[in-house]
Amino acid sequence: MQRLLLLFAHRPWIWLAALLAASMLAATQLGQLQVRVSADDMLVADDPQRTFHEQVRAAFGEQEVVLLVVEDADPLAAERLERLRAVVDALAGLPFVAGVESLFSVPHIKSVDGYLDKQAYLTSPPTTAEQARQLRAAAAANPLLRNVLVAADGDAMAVAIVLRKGDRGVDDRAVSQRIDSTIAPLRALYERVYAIGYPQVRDEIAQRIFDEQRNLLPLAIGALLLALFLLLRQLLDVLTPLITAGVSILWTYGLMGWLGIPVNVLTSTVPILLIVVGSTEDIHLLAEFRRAQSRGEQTAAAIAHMARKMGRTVLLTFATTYVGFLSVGLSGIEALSQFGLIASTGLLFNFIVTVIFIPAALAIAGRWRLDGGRRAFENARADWPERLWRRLCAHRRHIAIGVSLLVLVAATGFPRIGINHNPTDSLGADSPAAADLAHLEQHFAGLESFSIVVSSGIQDTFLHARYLNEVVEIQRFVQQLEPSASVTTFADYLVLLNNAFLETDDAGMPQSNEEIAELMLFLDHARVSAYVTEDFSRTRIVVRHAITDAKRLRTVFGAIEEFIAENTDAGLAVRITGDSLLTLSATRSMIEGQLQSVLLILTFFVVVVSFFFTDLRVGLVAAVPNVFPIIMLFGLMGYSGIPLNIGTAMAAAIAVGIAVDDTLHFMLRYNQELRTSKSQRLAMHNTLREEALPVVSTSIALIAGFLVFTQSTFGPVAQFGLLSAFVIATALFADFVITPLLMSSLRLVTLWDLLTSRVRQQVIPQSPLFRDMRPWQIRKFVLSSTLLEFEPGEAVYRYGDDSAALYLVMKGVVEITVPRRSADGREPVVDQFGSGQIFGDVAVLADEPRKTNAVALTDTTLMVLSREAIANVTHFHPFIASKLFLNLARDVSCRWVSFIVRVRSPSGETTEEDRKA
Amino acid sequence: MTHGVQQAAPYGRHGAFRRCALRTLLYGCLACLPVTAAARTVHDGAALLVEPRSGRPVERYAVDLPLSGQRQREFVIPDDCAAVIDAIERRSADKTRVLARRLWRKVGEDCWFDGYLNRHPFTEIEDHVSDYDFMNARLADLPIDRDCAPGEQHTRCQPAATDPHGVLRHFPLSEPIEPGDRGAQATACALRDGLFYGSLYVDAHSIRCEPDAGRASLRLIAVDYGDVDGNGFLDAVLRFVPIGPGAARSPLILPLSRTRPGGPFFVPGGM
Repeated sequence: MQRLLLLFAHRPWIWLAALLAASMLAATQLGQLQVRVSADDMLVADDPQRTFHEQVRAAFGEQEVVLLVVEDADPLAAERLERLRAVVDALAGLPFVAGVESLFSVPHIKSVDGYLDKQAYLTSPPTTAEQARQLRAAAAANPLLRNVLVAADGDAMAVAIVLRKGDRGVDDRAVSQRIDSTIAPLRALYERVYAIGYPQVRDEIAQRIFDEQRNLLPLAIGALLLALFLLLRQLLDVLTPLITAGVSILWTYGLMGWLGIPVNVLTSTVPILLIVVGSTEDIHLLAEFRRAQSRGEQTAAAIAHMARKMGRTVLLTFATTYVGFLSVGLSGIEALSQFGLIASTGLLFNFIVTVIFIPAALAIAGRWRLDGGRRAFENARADWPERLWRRLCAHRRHIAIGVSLLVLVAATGFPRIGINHNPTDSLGADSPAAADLAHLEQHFAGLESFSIVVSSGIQDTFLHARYLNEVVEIQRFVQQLEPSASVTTFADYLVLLNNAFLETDDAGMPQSNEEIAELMLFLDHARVSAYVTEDFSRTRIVVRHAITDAKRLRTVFGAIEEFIAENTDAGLAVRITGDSLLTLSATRSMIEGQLQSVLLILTFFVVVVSFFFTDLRVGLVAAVPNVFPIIMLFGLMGYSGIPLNIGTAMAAAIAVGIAVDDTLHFMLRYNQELRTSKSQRLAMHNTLREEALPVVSTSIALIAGFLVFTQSTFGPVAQFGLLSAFVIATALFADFVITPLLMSSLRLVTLWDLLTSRVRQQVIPQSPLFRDMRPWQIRKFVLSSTLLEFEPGEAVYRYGDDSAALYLVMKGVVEITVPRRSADGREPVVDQFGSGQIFGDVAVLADEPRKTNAVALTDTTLMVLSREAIANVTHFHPFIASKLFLNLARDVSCRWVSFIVRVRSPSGETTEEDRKA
Repeated sequence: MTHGVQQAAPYGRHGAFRRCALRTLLYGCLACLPVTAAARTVHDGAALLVEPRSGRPVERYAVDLPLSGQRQREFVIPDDCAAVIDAIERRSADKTRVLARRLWRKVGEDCWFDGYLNRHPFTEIEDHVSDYDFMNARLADLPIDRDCAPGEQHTRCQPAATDPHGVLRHFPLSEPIEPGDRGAQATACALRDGLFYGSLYVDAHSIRCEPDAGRASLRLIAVDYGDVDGNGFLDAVLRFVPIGPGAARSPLILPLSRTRPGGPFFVPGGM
């Protein structure tokens, strides 16, 4: 990575030209970029529920409906009806309209002189107020119309504009506008007139996205740049994030245009993401460059310093965030999958642009300090990290208690978190579509729907009274569960017919199969095809409702399923399906996906940190400051009533990505300082001082940028901005308070760090104990040991001592003697061991007390590996242990051979015979 | 529909001609008669049929009927009734599905009724029935056992044994009540614009009415005319259906005739 950064600084103009060329190429694809808001994109692609739903749609047909609602104290006045009829006819003539259902076309099934009459309710407009009242009452009494086309209170009525399926040749905006212009003449006649349906909602959301991008994004960028300028005071440092983010956004949108991936609710946040995440790395790189520059280094040397210090860190922070967002691409929800792939690709582009542009730009313009202004913290006292560190240590317990309490309070907010999958709720109170929808839900059943499909697999089942009554029972239960909903079935048609033939309002369901068959003589299947299949083996209950809260919807589904399980014939298969259920499933999948993404980011982070510190504890402890912001985030959401939705769920993932970046910078810097200073206190002091400027600068700038989004009138955007700003602030607190305290509680300066360079590079690799071992295996082994110092003549162990350890001589000489006095009073010398040699191993392996004495002849440093440590290595690292024991066996064998040779030739000469052997 | 009437003879090949002649004859005789506002009374031998799907009262309708071998054919009823009956008798009618069976039955019944109405030619005929307002018929005029005429005391009223045509069972019958507790004016035991309100009850002495002005329980939906027994006297064929909550849908076809003006109605023989 270091070499790469230097490469791009070598011929900067060429690389900048390459960036420009690529940007121009990307720009040519921008024209193909589309904005699309589709409900289907938010569903799980391979969800079995969705497959079943598709089957149901194929069996019963699917209608996308826009409701034209008119409200007035006297909606059936003759002059109004005449104009309304003309508008209805005009709507039916629109090219994207498959049909229109209204009181002008829906049959009023009744008996006239004993014969069935199916003329439409408004075949003849009522001429008197009493007639109008009776007609409204009759329509409201029809369960197929009540709360669907006629409000229960009678003042409002609706016209259902059924849109053509498939490609209508016009987008949502065109549909909305054409309908609006067609119904315009009614506004002068009725108190309230509006058309509402999913095309209108989607159109407004798409328009909001576009407006927010156009209005707020520049403001957010401006706030970000202003904050950076105030903190950093270098124009190049302020412009660089803008340039790298801008170029990567251009490349990303160009790629989207080329691949035909539309901008939707999720991918519209990618520019913000690239600005946010990309700017942090730019600032870190530039801060390192300026640091070297301030020490008097020339541009090239400063660039080299930057590359050396930050190259690996930038690569790792990019990798962490990239992996996290890429994991979102694995989601089964197409919109999320697109977002994950686009976001991660955008981050990749940003990384590429950053590592090319910054060295190249610095190589050209780095020597210019264009404003010469002092940076933030430059006026601060140099000992502020020391003072901060002392304060933290002095109040460690209070801080720990305070943080724990905060976490506890936040955690109790978790159960309060609501889930809202309804995009219309995010439109805000001033949204025309939201206002119309609120009115609709007040007078009618609502736009949401689900179906309860009842199947038998046997034709003509639902021409039998027994099974139809089962359906009616479920229908009654659901209606009682949700009184404001419209719950309709095929049986409702039969009841209407039965009432007509028996000339009563309360004849109810026909009770015999013969009666049903007779009624069916007067009912065309096309009229009821939305409720029962042509072979009458499958029927469905259509529930139209206004429930948007996911928790409530789950409760309703659960109650229905429980009722079905307890009350329905076992021979019938009953299953709930519909957009409401699929959206619920998608919401759950979305939340799981986001949590999975957060978990992946954290896991990757733990692995990276653990690797660098060769200690899993460090990785786990370092993850704590990153979990803290997430806990606080969800706690805030729970207490403030901000629901979990597409926008707020993304805030968690994005914020964790940023928090992890800052923590990674912190930890990697700390690791570097530890190697240099060998002192945790000093390392922490230096880390705080070096990381303060970039981390605090970027955090404050990002907070300022995100807070701009709180001005949005689009709920998810405002919530996303607020929560993201909150998480970054919390992460800043965690990085400068929690992380230092946690790190100080771990012994991070290891034995390995304490060994001199000469020992690490010469003594250890050449020791027979570590023969054929890889460096990391040697390090692992060494970290299990301790060091002991001995003065000349000091005993390492004596005869009879427990053989609890073996020894590796790091420095000095140790003599092994047998405790038997010779004639001259000296103990016979068995052997002497110098630097890199092992002794004391035989007794350890034989598990026998010491049979010899070991005494240091000079100032000696010994590495001690205890029997317990050997056992741990054997248990946890068997591969290392196998090499260890092999090396020990070799060493003991060699020493035994040497011993035999010495015994045979006391002079120590090797005979010809020995050589041949 | 059950009606206890003999199955009509197979359609003759001159049936159409006979209907035409009858139509011409009777239309002239009956043109001056007041046309009651409610149920339609047809004096030309063309039965009033109920069209499938729409439920409209029509003189003829077209219907697609399934045949064996997954075929379908359009029949115009009653013009193609011979073909319908032929298909039924030759078992080429596809009745595997419930609705198909019901539709074939309905068409068959319509054909039977049309045949029943027109089985005897209208050559020379005496008409003593079309002047009676059946839509407002008194029960006392209907051939319920004379010994049980409503509003009158009789000692031999045994309606269960003396109602051979099953007229009473198509009227809503109540449980016996205390004698003298409620009684109905004779005029209450009558149809009003084709509707019978209330119910009947039978005590030891007579049939009485339980009037209920708000609850119609029976409707006379059609009166058709023809010489169903071939005796040269015009007969009126009444069709009733029970209505109201819980009504059992078992329509009654009641042919009535009389041989002198103002005379008692009787059910023609040969049913």
